[in-house]
Amino acid sequence: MAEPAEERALLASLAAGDREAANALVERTYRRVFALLCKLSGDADLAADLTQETYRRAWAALGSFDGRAQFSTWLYRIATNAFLNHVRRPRPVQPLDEEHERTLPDSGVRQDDAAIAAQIQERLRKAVLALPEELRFTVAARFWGDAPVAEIARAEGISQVAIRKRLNRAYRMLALVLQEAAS
Amino acid sequence: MTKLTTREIKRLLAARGTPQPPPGLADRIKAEIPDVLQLGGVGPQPEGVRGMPPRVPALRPLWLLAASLLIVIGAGFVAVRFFAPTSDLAREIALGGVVRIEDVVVTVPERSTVERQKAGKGIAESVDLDRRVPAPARPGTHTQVASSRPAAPAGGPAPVGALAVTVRDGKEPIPGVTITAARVDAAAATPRTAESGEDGQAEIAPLPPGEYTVRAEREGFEAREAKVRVAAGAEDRVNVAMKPEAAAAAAPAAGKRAAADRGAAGLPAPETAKGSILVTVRASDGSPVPGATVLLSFADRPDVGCGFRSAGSAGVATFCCVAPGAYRICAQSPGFLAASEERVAVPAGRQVTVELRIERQPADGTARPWTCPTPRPAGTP
Repeated sequence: MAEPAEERALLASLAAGDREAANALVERTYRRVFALLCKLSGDADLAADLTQETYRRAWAALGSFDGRAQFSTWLYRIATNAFLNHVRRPRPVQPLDEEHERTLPDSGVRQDDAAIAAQIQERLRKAVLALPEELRFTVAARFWGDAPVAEIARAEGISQVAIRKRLNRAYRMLALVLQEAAS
Repeated sequence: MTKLTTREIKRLLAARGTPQPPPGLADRIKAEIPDVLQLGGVGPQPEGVRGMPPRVPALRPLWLLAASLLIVIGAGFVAVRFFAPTSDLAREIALGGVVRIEDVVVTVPERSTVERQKAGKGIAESVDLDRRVPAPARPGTHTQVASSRPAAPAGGPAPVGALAVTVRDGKEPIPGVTITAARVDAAAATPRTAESGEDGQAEIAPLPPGEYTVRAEREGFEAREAKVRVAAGAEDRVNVAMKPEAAAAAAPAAGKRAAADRGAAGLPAPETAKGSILVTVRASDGSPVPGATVLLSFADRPDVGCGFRSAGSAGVATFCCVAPGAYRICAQSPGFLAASEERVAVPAGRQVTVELRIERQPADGTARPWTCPTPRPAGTP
């Protein structure tokens, strides 16, 4: 992640019309955006497409960026919305659950540790997607975007205490959902 | 799966293993960067001003300017309200008291209820004092011509009263009457005077509480005098009935009736130089008829009565202060038939003697009317 001072300098150059600044911002942020979308979607190809879509939307909405939060955090919000729009968009394909059920090993087959970890990660991903909107973005930005709590608080326009309360609430809900899924 | 703890949830969420971005993703993204990029606002905000209202950076200077203006205006209002000199009379009286008041005509604007409440009860009396001072003379209004006023004791305003005098002749107001109010219990105090206006009203205010002798005087009218007690904080009203000097000698009832009749008939008022009529009522045998009623009316308008008198023990009734002119005189008494003298000329300043003889009433009582007939006016059917 770009340091705040460096990011401010890049944004200042961007405001002055420096196209290289935009390239530098992309270079510094696209891996995190891709990682976040990979965690959200569980599909690298889809994440790559959504990353492009995220930057496309970001350039179009660059006028609404007010500088409260870092540019990367602002991108996380756009990426999350882009993924949700992709999931909710009606498509003539099978739902994600059914699509992935085919790839998941049967419960009756002996599984190695990697397979178990992948299964747990998949359940965790679904549990995160089932969270309320504000909790979902907070968890995704904090753990999958590596955004500090203070940065998320600035992006959301609320206090850090409120962000921590959101996270604790999300932990409890995730534990409950994962336990129900396991049973 | 057993229930996961918060620590385990955090560990799961923080687990790595994300695949690397596909090659060329960054280039594809960079290729889609538009030629013109419009950054919103004024760019990133410095840390120190974050959180200050409003959120829109462009409005922040305006917000600071408006807040500064409000603070300056508020401070100025407080300074003016408490430290600046004021010309408010009630406030000056409240702060400094009253040492002496004389020959002051003050026009006080209407004050709001809040100011009155702030001024308090003590000031309220001073304010009333000022309000009682009449406005400059206007046609049809009374005027205060007081030469001096009693000074209020030093150290605070003294309670005062007021006197409103109405002077009338019957129902008619009398203008130009000099009203004098002199204190009974303080002979050394200078009497206060006022003159009645066209409405016959005069006001003397403020007046220290006490007992006053109020005297109403005007040339051509009988002076009247009355004692009035003026109370603090109140306006005492005095009605004074004045009579013309010539008419004052006549009987009050006869005078009132004659004046009313004259006014109703549209006849001219009696002149200053007047005459008198001496009527002697006798029976047909020449003996006086005491207690006989003598009626006086105009000869030309016998339907308009000028008054009546009762004859004395000698059968004599006197009409004094009668305006010069022609009159009709009729006498009547129980058990007698009425008799009249249709036209009696009364010259100015002279006394006219009239003798009326009345006959005893016949047994049948139909020969002549028992009471004085009231002839119709000349020219009416």
